[in-house]
Amino acid sequence: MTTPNPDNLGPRDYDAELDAILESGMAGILAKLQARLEPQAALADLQNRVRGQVPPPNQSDQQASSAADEADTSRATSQALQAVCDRIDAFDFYLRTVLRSPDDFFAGAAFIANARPALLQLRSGLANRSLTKSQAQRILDEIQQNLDQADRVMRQQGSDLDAALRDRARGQTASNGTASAQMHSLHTHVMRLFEGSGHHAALQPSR
Amino acid sequence: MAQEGGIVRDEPALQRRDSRHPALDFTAPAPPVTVASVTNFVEFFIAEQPGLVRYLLSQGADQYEADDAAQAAFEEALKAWVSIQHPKAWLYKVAWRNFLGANVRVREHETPTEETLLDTSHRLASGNPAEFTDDEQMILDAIKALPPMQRQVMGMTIAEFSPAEIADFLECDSAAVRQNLRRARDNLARQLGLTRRRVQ
Repeated sequence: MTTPNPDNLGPRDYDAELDAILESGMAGILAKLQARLEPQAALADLQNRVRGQVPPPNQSDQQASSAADEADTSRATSQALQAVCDRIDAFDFYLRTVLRSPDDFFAGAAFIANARPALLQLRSGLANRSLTKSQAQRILDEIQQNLDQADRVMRQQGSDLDAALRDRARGQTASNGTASAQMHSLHTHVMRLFEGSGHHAALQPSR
Repeated sequence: MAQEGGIVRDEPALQRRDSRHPALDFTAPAPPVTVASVTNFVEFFIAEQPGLVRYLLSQGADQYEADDAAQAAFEEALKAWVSIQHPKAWLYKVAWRNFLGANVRVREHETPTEETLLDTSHRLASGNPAEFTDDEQMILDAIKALPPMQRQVMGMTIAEFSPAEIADFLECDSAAVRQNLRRARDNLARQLGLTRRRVQ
């Protein structure tokens, strides 16, 4: 057997086999890592980190036990929560449709784009029941501020947010009312989820 | 940004970056966050996150460490997104430093305390740990067992960096990269039994 001289950079007779093993193994590893990636949660986590709002650790066993005791009463909350999540999904789909319409760039678009990650963060936080009422309020305020900014920019162009959204999403979404009406409704429904749980209390885990 | 007929059009972020000289432009306002830049980041994250974690695994990280180092690197990338010229190389370098830094911090605590012990129960940003097959784990272990320089070169080659890019990353010349890659391949072939099989 001749041991290859390590300084000889020429091909080896096992190169093809080594490449095949490496490619196959690395492709398998990559596929598994891709499969477990949860982009929405990971991006929401990134956004929290950038804002310095790392969510609190999961609830303690004692709290979890307490949550179990309230399982019956949380059933109604779960349905309300699902309804809010559906509402957020619909609103996000509406905004996404607007941003992806043929004329991709328009005045105020950046603010609408900024509102979407906050919407997803809100949904993720509510669905995971990791948001407090004040955190939810803060995210809602941020979404509202971005939409207000978009509206302000559009008014400088002689239009407004509702008109622009209506025109750009026409025929592609079943939107209910104006953006401000949808936001108002979303705000009401989100805040209703926290009723009776105190200002700093998080929703109880159910799923 | 260019304005046409009342519509503000956003130039692609990369074009804007290429046309500027950041070193001469410190006093200029930060480029605005735009639809294009936000969309680019999300696409970049989805495209690069698994490969970056795989690279960190090949460098000796466990899945928790790899996830943490990758997520911290993406966090830094998000903060500086519009000013990064070569996002992938930038990301890998930051993630690598994060991983090294985390290891140093852990080593510095001679006796782990409750605060220094890492709570691994909720740390994976990407869900549960991936379960690799024996063959996949064997390849990862073989790469991890390489000497540091060879391991870096092999990991970055698998991540589809060119020898010139790797040389830039490792601050060495391309010839050294090629030589280390050759040695890494020889070592891997030996570890994976390819050379023995030839003799038999």
